[in-house]
Amino acid sequence: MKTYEIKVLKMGVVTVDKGGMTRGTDCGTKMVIPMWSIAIEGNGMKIIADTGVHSVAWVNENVSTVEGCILEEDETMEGALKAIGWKPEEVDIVINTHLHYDHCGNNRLFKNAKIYIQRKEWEFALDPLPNQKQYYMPSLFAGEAGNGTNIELIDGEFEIAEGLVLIPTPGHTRGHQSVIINTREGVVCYAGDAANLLENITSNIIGNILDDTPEAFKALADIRRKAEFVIPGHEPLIHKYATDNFLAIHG
Amino acid sequence: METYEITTLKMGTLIAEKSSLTMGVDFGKEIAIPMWSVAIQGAGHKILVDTGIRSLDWVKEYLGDQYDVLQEEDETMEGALKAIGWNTEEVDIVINTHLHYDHVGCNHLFRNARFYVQKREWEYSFEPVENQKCFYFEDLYGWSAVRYPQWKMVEGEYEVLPGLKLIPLGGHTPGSQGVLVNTQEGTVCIAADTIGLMENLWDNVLPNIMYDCTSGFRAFDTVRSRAEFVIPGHDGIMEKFQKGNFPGIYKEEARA
Repeated sequence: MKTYEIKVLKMGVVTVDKGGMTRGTDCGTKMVIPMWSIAIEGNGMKIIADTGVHSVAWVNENVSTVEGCILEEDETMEGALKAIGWKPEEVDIVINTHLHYDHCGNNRLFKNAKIYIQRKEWEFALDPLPNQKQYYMPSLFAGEAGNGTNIELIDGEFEIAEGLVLIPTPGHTRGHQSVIINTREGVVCYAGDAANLLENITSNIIGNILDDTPEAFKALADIRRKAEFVIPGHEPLIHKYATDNFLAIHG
Repeated sequence: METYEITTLKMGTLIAEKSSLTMGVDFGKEIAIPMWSVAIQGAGHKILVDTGIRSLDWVKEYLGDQYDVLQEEDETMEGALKAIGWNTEEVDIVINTHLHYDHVGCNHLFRNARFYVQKREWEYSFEPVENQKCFYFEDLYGWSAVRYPQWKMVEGEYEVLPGLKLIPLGGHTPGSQGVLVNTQEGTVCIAADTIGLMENLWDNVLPNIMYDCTSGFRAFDTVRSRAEFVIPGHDGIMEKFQKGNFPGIYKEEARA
């Protein structure tokens, strides 16, 4: 079975209420959380999953549930790619776990990449529920930013290549997906926001930004079932540029 | 069309975390919220919607310290009924909007009543999603509280009496229902936890205990299109034993 190498890219931080990460738990406690993207290399491909935020000012002004968005120099997508020696035009594949502003902000940089998005997510992003409107900004993922025909809308589980599988993990959003990656250490799941934190997975607590409760619990169960290690979308325990020793799911 | 008289019954006060009532808004703030039941009289019937908590002792025993609950003498079910001159035997209809513990606690007192619940809620209550398991206690509404033949399992919209309708709302729980009551002032929707606070409806902010968001928003639209006034499940905007002048579906300033 083919294996892949992972490098975690940090796309800055925001301050949120902990209750926003873990529904009904620690409400009123502030927490600084990273926004992760990951670079995946192997099988002759360069792949980016999630592309961070496009503008610190926009985030601080427009998103009611976060404050204090800060990006260091190597936490912009350009800066992070440079740090790992990649050029945006060499990236073959971009995966968006979902289309919230902090996961697709730099899609426009990847002119040569095929972009994988769940069709349900695409449709939801263009017509979101009222409680999710502020998180979707079509100009980040559609039209010119989406590189037109390079977008591949998929329906359900999808094998990009041997050892690299997209699995639907809705609940947070209608068409959320996570990435299952075969590595030399074992099977790693890049969860996106199906699990903001490790605690979501290990204590079976769903996040607060919600589309559907039963689906959100099913997604957590699915990740526990299909992977040994997890990279949650906003977990401070992960390190910038980490390549291994991800968070063990099963004790 | 038959009209009914409504009286709000306060079943005590719960100290809650505000964002549990408003999704993503006011994390960490404390709010004191009443638990409302509603007495309805008309067409020769005495009707109750929801039956509050079992007792302060029950809450302590089964929920421990996780909730702070207060209850004055006229806020127990017996006390509240006495205050309006009813006794438990003469209540002939009980409607449960849903089966969470603070809406079914005194079901056992009404041995002569017919009970109305959505079949979907009944079935869901035995297999709820993980984060709602803590709200369902079969002892409060199962065989030891209500004899099964007392139940009328309703599927969808249902006219209990002329001018008194059950409408499925969902959102908070998959089988949550509201009650549309024809009154002299107009149509009142007893919305329970589908609209816990008027802020939910007025600002289009979902309650945070939410099975699925799509039906939560759809429920708001349903109430807006079918009622003029709302009795929310947990809003301090109303007084106990209030008989009219219930909150409108639009904020006062919006109406003016």
